Amino acid sequence: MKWKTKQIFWIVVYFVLIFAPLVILLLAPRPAGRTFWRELSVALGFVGLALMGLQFIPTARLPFLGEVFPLDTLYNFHHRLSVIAFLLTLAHPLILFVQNPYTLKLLNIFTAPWRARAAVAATVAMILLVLTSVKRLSLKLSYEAWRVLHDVLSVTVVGFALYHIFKVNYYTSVPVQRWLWIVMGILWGLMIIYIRVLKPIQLLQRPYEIVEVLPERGNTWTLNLKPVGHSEHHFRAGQVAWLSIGHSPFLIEEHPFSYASSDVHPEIIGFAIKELGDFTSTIGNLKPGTKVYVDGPYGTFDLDHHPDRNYVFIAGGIGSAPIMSMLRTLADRNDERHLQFFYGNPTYDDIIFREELESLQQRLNLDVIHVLERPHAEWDGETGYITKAVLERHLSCEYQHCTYFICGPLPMIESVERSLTELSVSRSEMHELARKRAFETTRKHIYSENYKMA
Amino acid sequence: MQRIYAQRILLATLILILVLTVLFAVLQGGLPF
Repeated sequence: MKWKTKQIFWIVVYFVLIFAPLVILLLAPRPAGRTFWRELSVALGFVGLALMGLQFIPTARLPFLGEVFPLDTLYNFHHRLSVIAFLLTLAHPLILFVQNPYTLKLLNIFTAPWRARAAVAATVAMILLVLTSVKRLSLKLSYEAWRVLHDVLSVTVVGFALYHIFKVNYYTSVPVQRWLWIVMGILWGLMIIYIRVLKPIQLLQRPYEIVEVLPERGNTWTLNLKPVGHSEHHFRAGQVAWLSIGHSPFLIEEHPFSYASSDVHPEIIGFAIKELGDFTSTIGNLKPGTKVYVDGPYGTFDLDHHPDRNYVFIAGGIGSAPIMSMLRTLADRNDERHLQFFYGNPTYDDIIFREELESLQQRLNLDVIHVLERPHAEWDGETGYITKAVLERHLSCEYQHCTYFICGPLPMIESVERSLTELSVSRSEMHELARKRAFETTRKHIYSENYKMA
Repeated sequence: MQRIYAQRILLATLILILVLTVLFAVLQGGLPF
């Protein structure tokens, strides 16, 4: 099955999982004396819970989703959908309180029945869940502490919410309704078990070790790894993996990075990591032989998903990591097509892989267009940011028939995509990997690069 | 492009939720007015 067909299949499954509960609720006998507002409140509560539970799926890093959806898009989707689920679920009690102020008494957990206590607990946990996710940095929560808290609160919300609907028992009286929620609850629980127990067990059986840690320009390190006691690791140039470095994969301390090495030589896999946070600033101190667990590959930001056209690569700063993987792969494949790489950096000295890009130009039909934010006096290349004017000056005459890979902070991606759209490039030929926003509540290092667009 | 698709799916989700929950409420509880 083609990956686009698979995408459509999973999107249909997604809609079924959200709306099946609502359709199945209609199977219940219509309750007497219930008003529109009360039923609306109930429906919003059920849909909100279905959405909440569904959130366990995009973050479970399931291989069959990871190969058809970009990882950053899945996480971004998770963040936005969680906020929608939060608002819908919050609307459930609020409508009830407005429609029948008597129900406000149920907020008193000392006198309220258990079904109401469970609802209050679920709501409080849900508010904490959203607050700690959206305001993690302001609350000075470490990434690792936040992830533990996120797991605990997520399970608390869904657990108490399920208890609430079973105790209220208005729409769980018919067996099919009851079983629907039981099955959904089991599915959500399995997601947690998969990501926190089964996946670490899998990773333990396939360790890697550091072969070398090489310094690069722009406070960046290349981390080369080799498999220990198992066969090599196949990935596609441009994909992403989560790394647990120097500790057990059961500890919740792992970080996503793009592969930077050639997929033609999977016997050694490389990652380019820029020093931008607590974790990444320690990369340079790692010693060869240190154990690493690699959870991947994930994502569709890769050459082989888009094989047929000429390529234009556009990156800012460490956004060049997956692009280097693609260029190294194309060089190893002796690819002859015309390639262009627009590469934005603060200064000439910050251009990561500068010398290697020069040597790749000897092996590939590659133009590299450096764009410097703060150029030195003798610089005669492009300055500022990767704007429409810069693109217009350098894009080849067949640029409307090229495939574009864009990697960098989200503002850069949005700006470049706007420029390309104005230049009549089809949106379907633009493929992006966001290095900010997408994971911003789950990590802070490489995506927090201060890259502004004109 | 995937980002744009994701935004459209989110929007479709939101619209469908609003339409279907209101429809459900009308079917089960009658009109609000």
